[in-house]
Amino acid sequence: MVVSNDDLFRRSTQFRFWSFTRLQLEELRVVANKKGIEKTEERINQLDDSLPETKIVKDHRDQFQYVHLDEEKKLVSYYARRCKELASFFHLSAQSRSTAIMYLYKFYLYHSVMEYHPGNIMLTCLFLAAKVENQFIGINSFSKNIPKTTPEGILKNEYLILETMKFSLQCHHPFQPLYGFFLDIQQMLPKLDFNRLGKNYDGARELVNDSLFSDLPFLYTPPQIALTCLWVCDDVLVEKYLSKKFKVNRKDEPDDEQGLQHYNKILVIIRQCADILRKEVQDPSQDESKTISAKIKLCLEPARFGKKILKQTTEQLKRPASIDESPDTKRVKVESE
Amino acid sequence: MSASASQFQQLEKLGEGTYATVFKGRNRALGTFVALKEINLDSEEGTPSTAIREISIMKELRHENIITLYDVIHTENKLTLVFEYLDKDLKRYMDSNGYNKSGALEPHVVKSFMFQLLRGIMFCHDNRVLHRDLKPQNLLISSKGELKLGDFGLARAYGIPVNTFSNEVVTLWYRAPDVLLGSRSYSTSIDMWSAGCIMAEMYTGKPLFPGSSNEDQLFKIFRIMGTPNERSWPGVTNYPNYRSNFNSFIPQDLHALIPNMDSLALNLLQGLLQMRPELRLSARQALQHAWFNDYTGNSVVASPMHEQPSQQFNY
Repeated sequence: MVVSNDDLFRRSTQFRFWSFTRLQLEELRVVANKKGIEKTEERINQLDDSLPETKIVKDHRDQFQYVHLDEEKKLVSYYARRCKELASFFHLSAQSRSTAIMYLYKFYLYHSVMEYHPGNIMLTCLFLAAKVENQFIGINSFSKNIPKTTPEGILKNEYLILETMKFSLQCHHPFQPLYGFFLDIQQMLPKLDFNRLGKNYDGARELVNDSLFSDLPFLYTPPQIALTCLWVCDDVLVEKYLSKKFKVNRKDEPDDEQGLQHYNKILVIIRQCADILRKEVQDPSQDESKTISAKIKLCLEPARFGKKILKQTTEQLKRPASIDESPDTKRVKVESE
Repeated sequence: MSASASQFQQLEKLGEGTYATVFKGRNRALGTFVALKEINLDSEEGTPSTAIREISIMKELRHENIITLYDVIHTENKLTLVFEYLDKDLKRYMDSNGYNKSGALEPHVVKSFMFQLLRGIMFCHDNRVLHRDLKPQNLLISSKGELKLGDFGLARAYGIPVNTFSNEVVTLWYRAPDVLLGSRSYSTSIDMWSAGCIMAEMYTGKPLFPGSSNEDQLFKIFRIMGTPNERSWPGVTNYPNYRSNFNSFIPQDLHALIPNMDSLALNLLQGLLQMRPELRLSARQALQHAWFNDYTGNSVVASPMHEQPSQQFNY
């Protein structure tokens, strides 16, 4: 009848539905990106042939720019960062904020930014997360505080997100385990300088916030991430704590055989986890996001692509020849004479 | 989650709640029964929070003593939750199976139901979920004598610390005295009080504390359990609804009220019906009670309750 905490976590939907290997994550994203490209192609094929821009789109199909896999990830991260800011604006808890960010990342494991713009999906994720985490914000006041939104526009995507989440809405974040370690460390190392622990605990909380903008929550469990964040802040402390916990590296006693195995295993995980934390936390610039967003606009409305080329050509036609020396315009000039 | 509404044939209405109507349904392909909980989506706020909460909790709770959520179906203006169907709830079971039409159940049936109820509660609490509305109507009984917790519409996931919950939960009769006194920081102990009330009711066929208002509910509890004071319950006078002019009662002998209860059962009941929430047995402790030795194989030592690791290492 004894159920360990590990068993409990393994029964959670977070483990069953939302834990992946790196390869699995990559595959999901490749499939989602491909779906986005196919949807865009469909949109191009469905363009009204009687319009002049349609012909141009179809003639210039080889120049049409789809959103690349890396760009998808970047743009989602960009809006995940905005989601964090918006959550702070509404004074939402770390739990609600992190849940919203996870919904956004989860959503784009199964959809492409070429289908749904993350700027919109992000808003609904935040609205939904607040509901799930008992911090409900009324849709009218929510929408009123965000420029260029309507209640309908935000609610429109709610079911789509629920469905993509497979209705598994509960998220476990590293904050609680981190607090658990904070308490346990004090118990295990009673002589420890409390200021040192307090400072590193705060630092680790910051890192936990950062970890959301990487794939860590899909790859490791919340306690593993929590311990890693603390280790990055103070490796000596964490290793001392783990030694004590697993009865290893003691001066006068031999190592506990099983304890040593656990200790080593955990440190291997921490190092892998820390490596991702150092190298893969994303914070794309606004410029990057603008470039990608511009592409999405064309994917969502390919007719714009035709209009853009049309506009470029007419502008080139109008431009005075004396300024522009390109061979193309010269030819145009000759023709018009 | 790819079910469509046409997969189920809607049969008779089973009940109506505050935010949903429940129908019996038949899976057309399999011929099996399900319970269809229909939620109207005409809310201006999108999917109602209660539905969101129930779905999110039920997706996490997979246990033999908890009703299974099979599916969620979305149609234009309503959301249907497809649940496992069980023949009756405990209330109706008692009405039809109690001896001499008294509603009282045989002691061995009470024990089996209590064991299953506590297992279901323990699983909720282990998963950081408070049911908050345990009552005979929310406990479902199968023809095989299985008991399962249902209706998680009021349930909540809780973190630590647990506070600022609304105190307007749990049907009055099964509501814990600390909640009635206005506590807003209740925790798992709230469900344990309800379990105690249900246990007594199964023995007698009658609700133990059938109060008609918040005040009357406290009155009925005090009349049997005794009116608390600073000596019996330090801090009780600080509760928002505490009155210094409460009628003063001394605790009654529960055995006199429920004569057909053996002394072990009585001991467990007393552990559940502790006025002070911090003294109430937890679900885990209750399951280790000697009354259940014939189920647990006397495994009192096998599950050390105070050796819960304070954190988890998941590989």
